Amino acid sequence: MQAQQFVQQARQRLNEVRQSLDTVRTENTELRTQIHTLGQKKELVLSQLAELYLPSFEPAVVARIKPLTGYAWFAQNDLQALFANEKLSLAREHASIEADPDFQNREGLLHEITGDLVVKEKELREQVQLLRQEVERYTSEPRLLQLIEDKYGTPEYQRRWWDLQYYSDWKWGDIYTERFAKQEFSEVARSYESFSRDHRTMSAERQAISARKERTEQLIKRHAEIEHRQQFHDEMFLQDCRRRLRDHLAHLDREQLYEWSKGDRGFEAAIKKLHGLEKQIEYLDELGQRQLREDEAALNTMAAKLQNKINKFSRPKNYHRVLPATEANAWLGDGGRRVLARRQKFRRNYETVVVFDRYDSFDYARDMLWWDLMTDGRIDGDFIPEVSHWRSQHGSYDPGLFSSAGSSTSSAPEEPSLIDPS
Amino acid sequence: MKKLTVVAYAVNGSGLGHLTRVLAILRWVRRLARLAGMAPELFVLTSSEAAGLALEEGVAAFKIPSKTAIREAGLPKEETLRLARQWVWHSLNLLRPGLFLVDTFPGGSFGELFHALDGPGARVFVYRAMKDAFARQEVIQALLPLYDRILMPQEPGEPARATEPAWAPKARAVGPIMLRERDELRPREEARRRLGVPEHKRAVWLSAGGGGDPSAEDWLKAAVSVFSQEPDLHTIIGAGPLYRGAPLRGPNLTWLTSPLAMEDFLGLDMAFSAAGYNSYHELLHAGVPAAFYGQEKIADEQSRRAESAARAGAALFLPSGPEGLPSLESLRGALAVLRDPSRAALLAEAARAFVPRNCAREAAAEALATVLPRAALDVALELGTSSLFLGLSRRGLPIEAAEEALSCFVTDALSHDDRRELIEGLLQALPDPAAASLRWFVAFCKKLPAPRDEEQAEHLLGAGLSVVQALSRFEDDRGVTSFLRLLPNERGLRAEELADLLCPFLAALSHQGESLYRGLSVLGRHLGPPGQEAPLRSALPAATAELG
Repeated sequence: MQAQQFVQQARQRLNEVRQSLDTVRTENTELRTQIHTLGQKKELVLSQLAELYLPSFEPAVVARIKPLTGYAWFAQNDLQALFANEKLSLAREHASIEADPDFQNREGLLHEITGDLVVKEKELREQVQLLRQEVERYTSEPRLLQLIEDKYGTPEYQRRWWDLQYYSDWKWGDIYTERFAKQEFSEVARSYESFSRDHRTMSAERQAISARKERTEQLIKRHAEIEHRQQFHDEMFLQDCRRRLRDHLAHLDREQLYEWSKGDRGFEAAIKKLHGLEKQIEYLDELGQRQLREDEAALNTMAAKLQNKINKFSRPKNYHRVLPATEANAWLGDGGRRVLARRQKFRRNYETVVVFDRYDSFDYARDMLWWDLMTDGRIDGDFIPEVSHWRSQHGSYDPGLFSSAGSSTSSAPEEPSLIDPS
Repeated sequence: MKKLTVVAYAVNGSGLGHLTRVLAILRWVRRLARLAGMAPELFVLTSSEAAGLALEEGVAAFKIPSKTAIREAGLPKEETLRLARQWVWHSLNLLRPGLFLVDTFPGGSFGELFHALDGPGARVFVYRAMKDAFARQEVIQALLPLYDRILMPQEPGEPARATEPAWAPKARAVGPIMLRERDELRPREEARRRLGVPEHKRAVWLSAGGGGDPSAEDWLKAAVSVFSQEPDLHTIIGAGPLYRGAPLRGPNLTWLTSPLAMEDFLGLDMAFSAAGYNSYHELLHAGVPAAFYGQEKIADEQSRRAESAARAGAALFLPSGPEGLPSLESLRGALAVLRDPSRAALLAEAARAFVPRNCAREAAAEALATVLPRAALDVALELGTSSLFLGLSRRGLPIEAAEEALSCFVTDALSHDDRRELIEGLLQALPDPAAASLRWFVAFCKKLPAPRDEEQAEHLLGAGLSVVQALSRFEDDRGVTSFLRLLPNERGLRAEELADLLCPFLAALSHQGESLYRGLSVLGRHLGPPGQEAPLRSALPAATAELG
């Protein structure tokens, strides 16, 4: 094959590989988006579960939280006392804020145009800016600062005429005296110290004003928060308690939670849904890590190799070379077609996992995998550590396992029992 | 881990000596082999009717009928002999031992081992002391050179046994081999409770050895008739697992058939026993003031053994009369001596000095030296001391627990001795339940880099223990496991720094009645999203502050 011909085909192939790469990256983005969506669903279910366990503060509801979830906080703390204490604390804080002089005068202090603090802060900012510029005239001259530190031009200056540095100091002292339009260097030093001092003073003042302004703003914000919380205290306290319970539920072993809560269809269904969503996220993440990353790496390698060959055989000295057909074809590769074929497999796996929603079919009483339930055992999941480990302990997938896998163990009261009582 | 199959052969010895010796050695083989990185699988081929002892020691036993069982079942001798030989050959062929340990009969009780010794990887023979005429038989002497190592348990007070040039280089003298170390015996009060000894009574041990001797029942009855007339005595009859006579029960009597009675010997005040290998060494090692008599055996010189202890002032000797048992007068005489507290104390001290050590560990080391690299065995010996295993046993922990704990302190800067001492300290200090606490400790250590020197190792130990203490307050093994699993690894903090941050966090959780799961959520918020986590140095204090 002529080198020119090869280069032409290689460029074509390179385009194909780059298109494949784009496809893979698009799919990766889609996967990440889907994982994010599932994550949001999961968070929602978690919140719903917490609400399910704690619909209200009725004593019977609170009393059952520990046996159902293993969370002992509600049993060990007096909710009524906590609520009352918080109410009192809010009232005190509210009163304290309202008694604060700055809060009372907030309008006068913080009005965006006429507020005392606003105006003062602006003035000080400008003054500080000016002073800083003056000070910088001096501090941008390192030799000047050294002369001042050595107390040149004062009786405390230590160097003597036999010290070479003495003459250098003398020279620069004159330069700076002239530059700053003074009669003697000591005036330069005094001028610098004066500006420095004023700058520090003004800066401190400005910081104090800013701090007071910020404090007043915080008081206003806190005042609003308190009033809002007082207005909706019951509901917000309940939400806080639910969040606390949610924190506990977030990491609790699902099988353990099911074991505690089984017998109530609502809890069972919610737990299975939560667990199922978590597994979907986990499996999609593994799919992404394993398949997408590997495919992207393979395509990048392909593209790099093609580009190298293109560069090499585009050089004038190689222009008229004749390449062995087998080698040329090997270099050209398949443009990523094999990878794309794998992508189809990924697509199938991905869609199978994403669309799954039969969470209620999972049966904790059997030793089964969510993966097998989601894929009906049709997809090899050995690249997922959990699946691989399970297979090594239990052998391969058993289709019969799911034929009788049922819904939640308990019947809803309004449904007829599936078990013949006779 | 590489598998090591060890098969012991203890067939047709009289009494229990052969079986207990090999089981005692196997017990230490298991320990040392594990510490050397091997996965030992232990089997014993035996005919002993006390094969249940193997189960007690966690060894799988294959059993054929004993001579007694064959005789009583009326089975034809020749046919049974053929069956027994085939059974041994097939067992060895199937098990394919890497190490084959044989006691008493180098050629096997039926002569079957002569055709089977080329199979096992290494062969070790326990050449216990026996009657000279028995030891001189060609069926024993001719086969000794076929073994890779010959262990010669040396009995105290006896001169060193002669070796032959053909096998002398393979011979290794060891001391007495017993199932338990002195440190493993139960404390006196607990032992007396287990033996059923009332507070105000003296505990007298009465035994005829393993119980299989024909004179056992007569001896026990005779002795009980003497002791039952002494109201201050409570007699514990160690009938042994082979005893088949009528049990003796009644007031001031405790009847035992357990082969592990040694564990309660510290509860005894005196003993009257046959001088079988086990009874003799176990009583002396435990420091029980004792009087021994000799049963007549084919290979075992019990009278010589008893006299040896008496010569050393470590025990009293009860000479046998015409019927082969000590007279009642000699029994009463010995009882009078053993009642004297000062005499008894002298005998006890002399007994402990006479049998100061259990050499099962040394015997196991010699056996393993035929199959393990020297370096690996040396490490196992440095780590696997009696004190380590005693610590494990007291906390109810298996040897795997020691391996896990040792893995936390792997560093060139620490000697094996140092590591072992750290683990022993850990085992003592772990809160209950020890198994769970140890798992948590190991999980905590894995969060940190391995210690680089002794000081860091000690800090790791202290830090780990304080965290485990804090975690144990939650009484939630699953929760602790989840918490430690999800806690980020920490490479930037020293162990004690991490503990100083973690313990207040855990205390705050516990104080508030919170769960570890909630703790994970609170901590997670302060750590931030995966891939951008804040360091624990800042996240933990912030989480602690949130909890209040």
